[in-house]
Amino acid sequence: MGDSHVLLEAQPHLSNTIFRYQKGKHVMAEPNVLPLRASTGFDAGTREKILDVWNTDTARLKVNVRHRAEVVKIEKQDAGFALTMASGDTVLAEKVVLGIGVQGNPRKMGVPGEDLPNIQYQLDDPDEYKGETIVVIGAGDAAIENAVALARNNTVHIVNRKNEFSRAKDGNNSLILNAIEQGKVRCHYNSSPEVVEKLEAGHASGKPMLLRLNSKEGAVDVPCDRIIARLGATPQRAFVESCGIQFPNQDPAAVPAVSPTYESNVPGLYIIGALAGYPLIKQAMNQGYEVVEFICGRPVAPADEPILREKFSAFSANPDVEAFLDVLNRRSPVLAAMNRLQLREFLLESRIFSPPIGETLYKEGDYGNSVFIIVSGEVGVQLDPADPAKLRTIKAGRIFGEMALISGRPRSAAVIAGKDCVLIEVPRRAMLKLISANDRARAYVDRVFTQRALERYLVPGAEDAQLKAIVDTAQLCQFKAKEAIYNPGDASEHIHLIRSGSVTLSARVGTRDVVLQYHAAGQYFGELDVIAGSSRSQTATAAIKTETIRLDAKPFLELLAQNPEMKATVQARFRDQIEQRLLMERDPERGARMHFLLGEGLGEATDALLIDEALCIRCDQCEKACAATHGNVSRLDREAGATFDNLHVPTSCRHCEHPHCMKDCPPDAIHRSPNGEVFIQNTCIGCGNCERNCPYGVIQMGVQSPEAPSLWRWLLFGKGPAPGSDIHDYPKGAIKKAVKCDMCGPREAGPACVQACPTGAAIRVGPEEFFEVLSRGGR
Amino acid sequence: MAGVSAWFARLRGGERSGPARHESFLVYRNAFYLKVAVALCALSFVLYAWHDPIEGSGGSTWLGYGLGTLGAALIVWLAWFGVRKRQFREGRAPVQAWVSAHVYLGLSLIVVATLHTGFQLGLNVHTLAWVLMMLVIVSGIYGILAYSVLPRQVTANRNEMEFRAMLQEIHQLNESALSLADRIDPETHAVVARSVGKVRIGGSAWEQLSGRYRSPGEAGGLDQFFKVKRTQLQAQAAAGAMPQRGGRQATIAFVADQIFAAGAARGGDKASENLQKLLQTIAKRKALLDKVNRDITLRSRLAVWLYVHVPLTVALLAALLVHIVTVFLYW
Repeated sequence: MGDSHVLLEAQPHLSNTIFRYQKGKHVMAEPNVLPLRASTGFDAGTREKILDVWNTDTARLKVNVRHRAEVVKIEKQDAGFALTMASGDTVLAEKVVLGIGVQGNPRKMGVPGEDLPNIQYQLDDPDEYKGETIVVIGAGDAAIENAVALARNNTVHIVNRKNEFSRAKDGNNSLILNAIEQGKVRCHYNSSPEVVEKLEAGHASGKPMLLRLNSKEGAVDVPCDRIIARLGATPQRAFVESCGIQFPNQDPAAVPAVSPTYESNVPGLYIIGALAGYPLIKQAMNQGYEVVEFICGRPVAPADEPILREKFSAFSANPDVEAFLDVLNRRSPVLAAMNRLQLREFLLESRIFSPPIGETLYKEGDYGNSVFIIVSGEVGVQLDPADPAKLRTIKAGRIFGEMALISGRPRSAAVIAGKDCVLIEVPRRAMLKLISANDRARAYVDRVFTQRALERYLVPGAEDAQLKAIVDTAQLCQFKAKEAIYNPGDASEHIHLIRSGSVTLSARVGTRDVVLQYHAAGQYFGELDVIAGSSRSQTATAAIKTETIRLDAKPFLELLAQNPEMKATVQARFRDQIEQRLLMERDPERGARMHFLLGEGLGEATDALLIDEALCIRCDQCEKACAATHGNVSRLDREAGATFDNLHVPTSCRHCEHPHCMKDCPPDAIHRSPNGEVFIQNTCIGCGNCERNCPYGVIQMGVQSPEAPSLWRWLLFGKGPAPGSDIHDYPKGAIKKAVKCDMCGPREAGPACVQACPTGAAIRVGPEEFFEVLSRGGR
Repeated sequence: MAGVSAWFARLRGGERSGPARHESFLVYRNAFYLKVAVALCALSFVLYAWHDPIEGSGGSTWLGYGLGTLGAALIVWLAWFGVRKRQFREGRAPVQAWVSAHVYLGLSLIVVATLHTGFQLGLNVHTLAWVLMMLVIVSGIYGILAYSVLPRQVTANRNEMEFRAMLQEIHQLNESALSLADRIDPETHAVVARSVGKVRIGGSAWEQLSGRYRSPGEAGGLDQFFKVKRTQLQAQAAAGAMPQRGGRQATIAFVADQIFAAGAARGGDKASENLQKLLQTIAKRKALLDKVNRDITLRSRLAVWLYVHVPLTVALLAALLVHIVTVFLYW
């Protein structure tokens, strides 16, 4: 530690993110395969233990820390950088390493007096305060939850800039309105803070400070003990960009690109940790070590070097990792789009292998967790299951398996390994991470996807060259949930291919909108009007957040005109669809049920549990069976959830096409099996991100226990829990992990909930079966 | 596109896929177990009609022993269902199949066991077993009817509300009522507090089943009270509501009273408004309470028969054992 340095820390303590965890929280040390190479220890353990180790080591190693030093500006100067602190102090440095994460700082009130004591921006434990007058500022979920929790023991005011709590979740909205109605919380609507003043000790109000609010009716003074401002956080991006660092695109998930030595596009300015796209603690610690070595001119091989060497060892006894990376970089447009650091990270998570000729890489109908890149050799796509010998070749350098990745739907065709092929299998998460960070890679993948979808569905049998004119017109369109894509009467100029999400087509029958068709990701719509040459006859609406690839109608029609054979196939399907549409129009009830199911998220479901309430005797056998087969924690709540026309959608996993829960899982513990079930591995670190990200509330944190309650002991002697009981009294200190429906995985009898239903009320359906359920009206 | 055409193919052709097959236990697998049960009954009838023993029909002929063995085996197997449905980790057959078989084979016992008796009924332990069996079957028939009729009624009554949510809302309405009453006057608060204390959810077994819950008399009483209160508040507002003061009346105190009276007059409006809100809150609570109680009634009717069915089954097994042992003792 002989290097001249200063550690600038905005807080009065180190490691703020972990410091802010709740007391006693267990912190995991994933990924296990990666060795730790920092000078301080890090093992999985409680928050206290970890902080203790770090603080001791920081003192032992004599780290030069400056606390309460929030950097507000970094300016590039001739010889280095000038860093300006919130206090106005300046520090000069030759090199700067940013390890500021992505969470951002809490937004302040921005009024005079905002730095007085007892003004805070978070609330750890509402029961800490009793008998105080507390003002909560803000109208979001955090503000509401704080205000309501504090109101138990305190006099609480809440300050809302608007005249309603429209930003909050429904549950919180009614929570706060009730509290206001019952006089537990006093609300100042249309008000914003103007100034906070310190009051003298002997002031008549007996309070230490006074908050003046600027409201519609004029100034309002609120003497108080404490102010809690919950105004959200300022994203780091603005600050980072102000330092001159560039982001690849506007995607909120995008992170700046860094070089193999973690240097950003600003020379001398380095980025490590979550801001560079590495959210795990151990990765960030390793990078902290490496970046200092790089800066001080002591080159180190990255921590992943041995792992990569191991991966390449299948091809050479003593592989030179750098040389291999050079070769790979030239082999495929996707790999070429990455810089060295991205490539290393990408390969670390991927598998390189060379399957024997004739091996099936995946089957039609499997759910895909990965994309493949052909490094050399070729593979064959089985276009017609009836004729397995007929293969369409995909050559080296190209990718395959991208349709399942983009649409979230099952594989559309089997793929067979060809002669001498070497493949890289990239897990879903690594690919999505690449696409969101790298525009070139994204454009390439999208183009391949569009072309393949056209070949497969819209104009089967067309050659790549013939499709070029259509693919060239492709444009990515994004739609919010419930947004109209087109309306009746609009000109029919485009065909839409659904990239992700789902779309309903509806028409007005009498006074209401009737859903006529539902299209899942990977399918296209809007082609009927184009072929018929009429204006739009229906409304196309995004059922959930949806992306479509919009293709111009003209080149498509031209292609059809040139190819009578192709035209005949398209025409046959056209007739089919018109027939189906008439069928739907005759039965508006079905449309209403469809509407309900889509509203409950079945538009993105691949397999959902439905209960026919006309048969359900409310015995909860389904829940008991779930608990009995899953470590005594039931993953479904039968009663909760919406009901329409005796069709009940219980709170249970829908196994979404693009699972929301997978979005932000630090240890990448959530996966999708080939059968489609989304399951959580044991490497879960219990962070609760998936629980928060799930819009359907089907994930919970629980402790599974291996014990199996004895049936006979319970039946004959009434002792112990009954089989199927949810056992909640787990040992103190047990680590809560996320649990959710895994569709009973390999269980031979299928999902236990359905097997255990005594009356046949519980069924599991995929999108393919919605129509069947609908047609029989839940009977 | 294959997916979509498959949906519609099914829609038109009625082709059924495995997992989504969805039918009541009564028609499970085209009522396979009904057919089995009917065949069993028919066979018993034919044999019984054809068989003409010298000593007369009864349990001690070869047919009697045959039917008796079959009946006893069925009874034990049917009772095993109580165990089977709790063995969540075992077996491959859906519980629905067991229910379907349980229902139809259970009903077939009416024929099998009655023919086994040869109609030799009397006041003895043998007939006790038969009577217990018939009672178990009758309670089971109630169960079938309840399971076919009541689930829809539960759904209709719930009106898309969860039970927990209804209880929570009642609790909240209680709190709102109290805080509104608090803003009117102490008397109202006391009355509302008493009514909150008297809120009853559910009741005795009989109340639950009959659906007629003993009213704590709160609704009528409250209405009456609110009527009086409203008139009183209006009168107060109109009269300027001067409180009576006895003894010395200093100037300052007099002015204070004036201000207070003016405030009270204004406050009177506020109070009637609060009273109006209070009335609405109480009415809402009443409606919700009725709904919750109706739900309890429906669900108790759905479950009550098991309290007869299961204990009687245990009694039947005991009587059956005695029946068999005594028959072989006196053989």
